[in-house]
Amino acid sequence: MARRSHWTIRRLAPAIAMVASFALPAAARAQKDTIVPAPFRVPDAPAFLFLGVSPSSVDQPTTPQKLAASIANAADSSGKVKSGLALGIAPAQFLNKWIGTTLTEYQNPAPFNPAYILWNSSLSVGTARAQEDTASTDLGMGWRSVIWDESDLLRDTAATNAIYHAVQTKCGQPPVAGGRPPGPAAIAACADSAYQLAAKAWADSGGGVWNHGGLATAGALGWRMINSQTSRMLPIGWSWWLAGSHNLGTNWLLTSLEARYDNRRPLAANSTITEREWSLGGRALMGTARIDAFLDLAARYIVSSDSVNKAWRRQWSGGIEFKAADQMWVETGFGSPVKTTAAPDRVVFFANLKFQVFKNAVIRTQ
Amino acid sequence: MAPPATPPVNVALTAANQNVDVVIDVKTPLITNCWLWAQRPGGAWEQFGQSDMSAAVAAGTHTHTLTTVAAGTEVIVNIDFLGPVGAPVNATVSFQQGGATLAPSPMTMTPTATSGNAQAGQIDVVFT
Repeated sequence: MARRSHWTIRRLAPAIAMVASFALPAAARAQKDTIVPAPFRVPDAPAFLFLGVSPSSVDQPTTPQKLAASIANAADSSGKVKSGLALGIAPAQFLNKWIGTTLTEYQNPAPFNPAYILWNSSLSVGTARAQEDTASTDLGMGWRSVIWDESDLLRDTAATNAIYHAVQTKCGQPPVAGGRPPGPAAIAACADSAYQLAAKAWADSGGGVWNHGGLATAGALGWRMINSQTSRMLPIGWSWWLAGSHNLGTNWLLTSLEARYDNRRPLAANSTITEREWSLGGRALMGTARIDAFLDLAARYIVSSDSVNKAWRRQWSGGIEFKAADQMWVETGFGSPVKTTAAPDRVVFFANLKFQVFKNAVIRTQ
Repeated sequence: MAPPATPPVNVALTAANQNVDVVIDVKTPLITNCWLWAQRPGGAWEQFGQSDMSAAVAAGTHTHTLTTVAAGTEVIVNIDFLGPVGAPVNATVSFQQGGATLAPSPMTMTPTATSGNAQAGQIDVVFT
């Protein structure tokens, strides 16, 4: 049955593209280089996004000693803060020893589960050279919390029970009856194999449903350290994100909303006027586990604190995304071009449409 | 038969040939499996506690009583943790007689092997 639907989707792909090319207005078919709507998820590391940097590697200390060493390395011998610091910290990593969380507590379906939130919270800290003042350094600090996420395998009691029992029966047995029990290496390899099989089966089935809901929030604060000194810190501003999605009780629809507020103080102009930006976006995603159509609407309102400068910006986009094969998702769209969060593995032009090929679904996971 | 990676830790019984409670405390939101094994002097390895530990995905506290434990009995507790790579784990194993904890337990389970999404560790003791 799986092979049949796989074959069907692949055969239908050109036909879908053809229909789409005729159905869309000419202007819509004149696509730009980047498609895909505004991101409908909170950033993984808000501090870096706030500073506008993409560190190639993020230091993730797991002990207080390693954290202290990372912070100590952020300053040079004269005590000035260096740019390029990129820290990712999971509070649960540090607190787990004192406030352990069991799987039962983690899977508590309550809308607000402190144990779940703590386990899925992270802090990010970064520094970057100030753009307008190269002697100064900008510091960003952010946090991110997932309130709930239905796509989390560990939340699914049936899935974790299945994995548990698979591991319990397949692993841990001695090589010979009555012999010495297997060591950790053999158990870990066996358990990982059982986990991979069960997790793949769970993912292939859409984890019960394809249109998982979730809710997450994040925030970031920033300061400018004049002449890179911690004694002279000026606030730059702050940002806040909130993103949520829900399937409204259906198996064919996923609705999402994202709100963002950004408050920045333009230090270079030596001004006390701040610029505030509100963003609100909505998305409807309709389809199945293998194919979906999406429609996005987003609006931004930017205003300075003296109300002299005001601007409204609106955008919309839509398109389709389908699974052509294992690890091959194809998407195409139209409307206002917005930067995609992932680079496509391949770009294909067909029937006057640009198709981007990804290993994973990029729209539904944003 | 492969030798153990590290020699077992000596745990002194307060009373020989009496019961020993093995208390496994798992506090980590990962899928966790435990196996408890014992080898009495001159005997083969036996598995214990399977039914005790099958409840509630092994998260929480699990106690299994080994009866009439003689000096020279070796006990192995295997624990594996499945979930996000690098996720912190938190599990301890205590050996008790008459409600008193036998030194050097409680012992913290430290994973010594990692494979993909799995981390596994072992606690190996011999009663003296």
